[in-house]
Amino acid sequence: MMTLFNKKANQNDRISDLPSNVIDGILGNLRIRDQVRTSILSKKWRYMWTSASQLCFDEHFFESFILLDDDPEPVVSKIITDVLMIRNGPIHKFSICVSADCEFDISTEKLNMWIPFMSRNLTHLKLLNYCTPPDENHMPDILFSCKELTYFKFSSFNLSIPPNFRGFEKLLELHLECVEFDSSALENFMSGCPVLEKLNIGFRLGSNRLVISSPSLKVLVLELHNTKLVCLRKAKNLSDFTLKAFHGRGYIRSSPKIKRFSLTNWGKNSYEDIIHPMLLSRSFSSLEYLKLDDLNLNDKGDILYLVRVLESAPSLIDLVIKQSYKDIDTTKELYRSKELECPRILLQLQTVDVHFRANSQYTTSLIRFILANSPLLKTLTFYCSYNDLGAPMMLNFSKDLLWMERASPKAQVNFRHV
Amino acid sequence: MAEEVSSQMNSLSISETNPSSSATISLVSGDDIVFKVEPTIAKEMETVQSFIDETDGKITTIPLPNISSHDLPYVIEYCEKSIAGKITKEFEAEFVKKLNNEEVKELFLAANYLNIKKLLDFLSQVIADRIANKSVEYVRRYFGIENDFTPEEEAKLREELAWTFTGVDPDDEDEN
Repeated sequence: MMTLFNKKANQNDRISDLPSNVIDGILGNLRIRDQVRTSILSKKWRYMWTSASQLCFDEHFFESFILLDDDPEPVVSKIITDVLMIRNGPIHKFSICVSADCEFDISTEKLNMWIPFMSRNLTHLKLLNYCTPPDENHMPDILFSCKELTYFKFSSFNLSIPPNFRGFEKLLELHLECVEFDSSALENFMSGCPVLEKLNIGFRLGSNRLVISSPSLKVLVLELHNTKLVCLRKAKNLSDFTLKAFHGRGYIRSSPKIKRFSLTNWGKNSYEDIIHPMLLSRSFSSLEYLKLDDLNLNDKGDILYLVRVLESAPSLIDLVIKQSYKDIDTTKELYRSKELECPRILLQLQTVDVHFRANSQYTTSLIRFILANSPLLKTLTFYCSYNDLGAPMMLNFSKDLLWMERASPKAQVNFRHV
Repeated sequence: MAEEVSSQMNSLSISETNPSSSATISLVSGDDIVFKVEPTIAKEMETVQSFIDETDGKITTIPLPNISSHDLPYVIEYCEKSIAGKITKEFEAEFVKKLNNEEVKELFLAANYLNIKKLLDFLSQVIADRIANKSVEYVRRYFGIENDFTPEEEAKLREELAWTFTGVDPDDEDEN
């Protein structure tokens, strides 16, 4: 077992003699150009790269073809085909990520040529091309032959499902970027993925309804524009949900097991439009982590909404609030919010992070409310830019903090300069 | 093989004299320095653990002739962090900052020899990062590879693979 290296052999080059699967570990982490270029190192290395199980044609690869005078399409296409032809052994991960300004179409014809080289062993597949408008491309049927996929990310295809669709039985993670689809097509797709745990839908426009019906799903990330209703009722095991909403009213029909929730409200609508207050307690009864991005700390409505959320989430332990960049007006007259002074509820909060840019009386009221009602609080951390706020305001804020009643005797208050 | 082990053990009477140390494992580097580690650390090193298992735990002094006393502490440090579940991006960045190219290669060989998958995967990435975008000549020097192509063969290959040469960094003077 304890074999000695042959010290008489070339002392310096002990890497070349390692078994190919060990060298594949290095090659697999190289970009395609660097990977293929190793064939010039020596005769031993001539075909070493051909057994690396990862093949990635990334933005970096495509960028160098932008400056070509001729249409890069045939050149790039030939390189990919040549690389696949010379390859030896199974390919587990394959990706094509076309850079934004390179005109290259991941067409059905090309995929029909390339996918058969690897479909039997492929577990990770990534096909990204942001320059092609999605409505032009139907999802090629050949992709459905990759039965072993555990990770699948694609953009720019119209999600269409062939009639003989048998599903991806091993698929754990699905990412759709700029993909057009009907909610029913997605439901159909997910019904063929019995172990799907993570779904990520980036930049989806329009459509009234989105039904997420996968019972195995645990993590969901949605970026929606103008979607009116998201129904999660059938996603019974969903525990981690991230929603970025642009405009549009998105009513969430939620599943009760969500433990982590992050919400970014990029649109002009209020939080109430995204999740109606009436639905909060049903949706958030198990919530342990909540992050609200783009909360307007100068808006009484947003602050009161947050308080309602806190009241509806009795198990909440971690809270992160980020102040929005919009509507910062420090010259505004500041009000104390009476609503925040009265309620006495028991919060389980242990850590609270507040990222803020400018102080407002509502911030002070909110902090007072949290400190007074969280007997288990361990840390309250403010992330802010001292330059933004200025010394007098910082001093006032600190003075206010010192006077605030604290339900938790051991709560620490920290400031982090960002 | 058996002889080799027992001869190593004779020369290492220090680890035998102290009975209370029986729980710990002694790793002996190629230059005969003993490193005592907890059995949990040995578990991270599959090669060492299988040696212990083969001898039903009777032998707790393991010679590692391929690993020097300079490199072994790094391996042990990584394994300790790994057991504590403290392998973070920050730790890895700090860890690798201390290492020059030669040390990275030695540790890679050590991780392979000891069969420590996490360390091997991590160092594969480190080596890949260090040779990324580098010229053929640079990578040859990095690994100590002797070029056995004829100039004609190499020129032909370079022509065939011309597309792989865009974006290669110019070689620096101060390597290592």
